[in-house]
Amino acid sequence: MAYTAVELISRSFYLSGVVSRQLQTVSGPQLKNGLDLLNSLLSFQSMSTQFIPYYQLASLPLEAGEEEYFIPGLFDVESFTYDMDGVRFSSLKLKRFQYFATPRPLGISALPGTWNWQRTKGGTNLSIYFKPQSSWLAHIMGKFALTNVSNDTDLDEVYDDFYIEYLRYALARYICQDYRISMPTDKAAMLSNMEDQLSSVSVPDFRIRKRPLIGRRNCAQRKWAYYNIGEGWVPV
Amino acid sequence: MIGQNSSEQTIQLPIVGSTKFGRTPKMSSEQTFNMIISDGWLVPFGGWTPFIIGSSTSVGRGIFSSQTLNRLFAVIDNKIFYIGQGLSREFVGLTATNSGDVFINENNGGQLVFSDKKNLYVYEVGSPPSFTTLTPANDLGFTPGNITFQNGRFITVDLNSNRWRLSALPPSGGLSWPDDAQHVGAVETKPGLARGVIRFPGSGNKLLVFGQNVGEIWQDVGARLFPYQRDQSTNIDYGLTNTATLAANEHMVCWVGSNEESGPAIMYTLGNAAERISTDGIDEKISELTHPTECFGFMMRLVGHLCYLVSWPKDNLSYLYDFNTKSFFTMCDENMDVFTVKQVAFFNNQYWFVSAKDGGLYKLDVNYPFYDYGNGNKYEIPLIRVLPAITMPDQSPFISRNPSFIIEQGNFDYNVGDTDNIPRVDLTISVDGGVNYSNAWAEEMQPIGRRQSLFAWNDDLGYANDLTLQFRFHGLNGKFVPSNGTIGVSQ
Repeated sequence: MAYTAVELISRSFYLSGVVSRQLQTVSGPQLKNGLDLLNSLLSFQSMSTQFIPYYQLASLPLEAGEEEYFIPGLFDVESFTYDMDGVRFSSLKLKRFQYFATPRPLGISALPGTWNWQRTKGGTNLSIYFKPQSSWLAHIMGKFALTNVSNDTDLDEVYDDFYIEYLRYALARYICQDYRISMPTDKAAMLSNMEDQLSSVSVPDFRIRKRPLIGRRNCAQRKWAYYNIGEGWVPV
Repeated sequence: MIGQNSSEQTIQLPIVGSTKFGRTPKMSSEQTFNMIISDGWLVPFGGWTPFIIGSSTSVGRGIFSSQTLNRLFAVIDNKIFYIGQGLSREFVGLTATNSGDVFINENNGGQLVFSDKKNLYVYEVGSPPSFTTLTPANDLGFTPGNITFQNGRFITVDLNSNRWRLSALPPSGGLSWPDDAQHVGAVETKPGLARGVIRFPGSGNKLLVFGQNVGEIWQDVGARLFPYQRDQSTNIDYGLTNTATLAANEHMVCWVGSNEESGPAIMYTLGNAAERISTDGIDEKISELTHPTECFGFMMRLVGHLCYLVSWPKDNLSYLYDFNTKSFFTMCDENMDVFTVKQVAFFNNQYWFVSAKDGGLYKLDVNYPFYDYGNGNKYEIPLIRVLPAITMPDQSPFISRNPSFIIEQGNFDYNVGDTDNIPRVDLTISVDGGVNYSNAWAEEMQPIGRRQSLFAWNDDLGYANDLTLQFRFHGLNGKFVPSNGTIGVSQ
């Protein structure tokens, strides 16, 4: 069942206590104000991403020779991979300085071995190097969020119920602040509890990844690309 | 649940209060409909049930409880009749008029005098009883006003002059109104017509005679030439707006008064200076009336409360002043129109009244929780309490929640399956100074025998800096008796 933004705004007004659920209805100006506040809240959530509860896998068709891709609604990227001939290849994420400010040959189209992402207005700019040699399909694991909704936007299509419930409380706090009143402490405590739980729903994967080049076996014959691009897997 | 928010303060909710509205709703909308204050609780004023079912085309004009005859006399349309001890109805006579106020009084000579402000009608007990009509042209020589009795004489005023008249002593009594110096007084403090006269209750021989713009205090000193002597040093600077508003009980006289410099106001006197009892808000309301002089009033002591009830029928307005609590209350019928009761009399250990709206004769009782007109026309009494506005000292906005109060429960006999008629209390709120109110939020009363008495609306009431709560008590078969309450407020 659709859960529209206007429904969320109304329920947040009731939760905040600014509008009485039993005695009043949310007025037109209040709905407009609530929509502005909701978009501010969503924008703020996309800034922090701490309370965006989960990572999602998104597909990105790469274009041959194209280094930069804008992905709307993506605000945190954990991994970038691409498929080639039935094998998934990973790529090395470089820091901004390493990616953008170290020497490298330009104009080479090959297997993308490194990548970097940068937040930009409304989403993320993903840069990959080498530029893809072919139109491979890439996969991005990251956090996506809405930043701008309208009254009729169906939040249910984007968010789980628990996250919409969190948004209801968070928007109620925004409304209270906008009306210059304190959020009732029981509701503020509930919101704080929700935030604690949300921040641990899907935490970033901080495990250290090691790629040994030298071992007891006959590794010397292996090439760098063998380990770093395909991690031992090669196309048939 | 009060106090769910630690920053919330709990403030008093003055459920028990009177009608104190200001000149504009923003100043105060406080009003109490059809309830009065008793020992710190609000109690219904009462309802009625018919003894005689009246026609809607008829109208009650006057009622009087005769102490000498032990009968209840009533005038409906042009018919005068009495109710005896056995509650039988006997016809007395006809008046020349069909509408308007009728004033009644009696003497110790077995006479009752009725005045319809056109003629006097004298009923004398006897075998057979007699009924005599005295007309201005043939018998009186003046146009009679209201009738009072003092020291053996009937007294009335001449509505067409400044004179007031004494009847002869019995045996002729009300049948004889001599036009001589011994029987004619005059209102002379200010120019104007005489309007009404009333024996001052609890003050011996004192008599209050009203003109249009002045009230004079007279004393029956038994002088030979003219028995009354005017108080030389005191008068009341307010006249009588309408004779029908003049009422007395115990030790005071009430009326709607005005003078050449002041508009109508509700007044009372204990025999010396007159006091305005109407508030600024009520005076403002009276000043807006289209027919301010079309009014009537009466006094009664109801369950220990000395009350004055005044109505303006053409403007659909009625107020009750309770001298015990020194408070006003708004009265109305089932349609929020003018209160039905026109005049009250105590007879056979029961209050009776004639209606301003129909030809019925009714019994009034504080224990009747309905307005019953007979033939199945039984209505709920509009019991409404509009509270004074809740504001913060600095006018800053707040959120309120969980209003609650104590109310007597477990008295309503109702069928829980009859969901349309479950007694309830409706809460509505106004956040714009009492001008517009929200939809209603109902809380149901407990059925008979269940006496949990805390009545609460457990939710937020919204954001406001000027919050007015209105409670409407709905239910036919029980009494609503609420006390004060609380409300949670946070900022």
